[in-house]
Amino acid sequence: MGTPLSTLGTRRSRVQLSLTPLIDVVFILLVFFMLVSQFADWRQIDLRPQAMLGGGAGDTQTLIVGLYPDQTIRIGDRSTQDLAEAAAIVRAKSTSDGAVVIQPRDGVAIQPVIDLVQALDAAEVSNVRVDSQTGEPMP
Amino acid sequence: MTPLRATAASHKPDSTLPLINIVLLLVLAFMIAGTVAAPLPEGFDPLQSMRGAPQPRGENRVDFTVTQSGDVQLNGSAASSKDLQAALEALAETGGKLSVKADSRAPASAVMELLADAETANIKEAVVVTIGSKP
Repeated sequence: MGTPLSTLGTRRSRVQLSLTPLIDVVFILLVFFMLVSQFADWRQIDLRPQAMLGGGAGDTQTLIVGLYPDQTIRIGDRSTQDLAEAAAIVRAKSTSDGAVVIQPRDGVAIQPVIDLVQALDAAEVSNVRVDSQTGEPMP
Repeated sequence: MTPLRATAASHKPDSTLPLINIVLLLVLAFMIAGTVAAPLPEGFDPLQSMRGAPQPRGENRVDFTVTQSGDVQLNGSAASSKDLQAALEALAETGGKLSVKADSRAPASAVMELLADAETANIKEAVVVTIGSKP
């Protein structure tokens, strides 16, 4: 026997939409975005290798800056461990149309290279490149 | 004594709509303000800088990661030199940008070799990604 129409109408009026699946899905979305979202302040630096230069490191217009594992920076016959002083020396020695090539020696991490590039950028030294071949800097 | 009306009150359904509203707002906030990216390797210490330009969103780029030991990972997973070469060539064909996230203790030679490889593969734009402040 079927359900009497009068009873069916009463049941329909009492049916409520369950919100539990919706809450489940929304919570899963919330947890997912909480886990994969990153709010870090990412920045980008244009770090050009020496290979992008037209000339070699031995060009007369190229100023070689040696970077050593003990944070020593050698520019020609001068050495320092202070970034600002090194940037000032490079600015004084570099020419407007010449290039500045940073040569990190073996064992130098990338962070000191970035720090030196930024110090040179702050000192308004342009055309800075980084040598992709580590080794003994040229005198 | 507990009044009998309490029984009737317990049957009243609690409104979950405010809860759903708040959670949906949180989801939207994470979707809009956050950036979905592949997780960084365990113990990864990102490069820090204060002068870099903010990294634009929604651009065509491929993320390479250089770990502390100098190993290169592609989009969060270890890749062989052959895979890296193929990825660089594919990126050059699409005109995309190479983005290098390096551990601050990674050898400078590993990062610069990767950038030089990108240049050899004729990639027009390659940048090193740093972080302005610790997360």
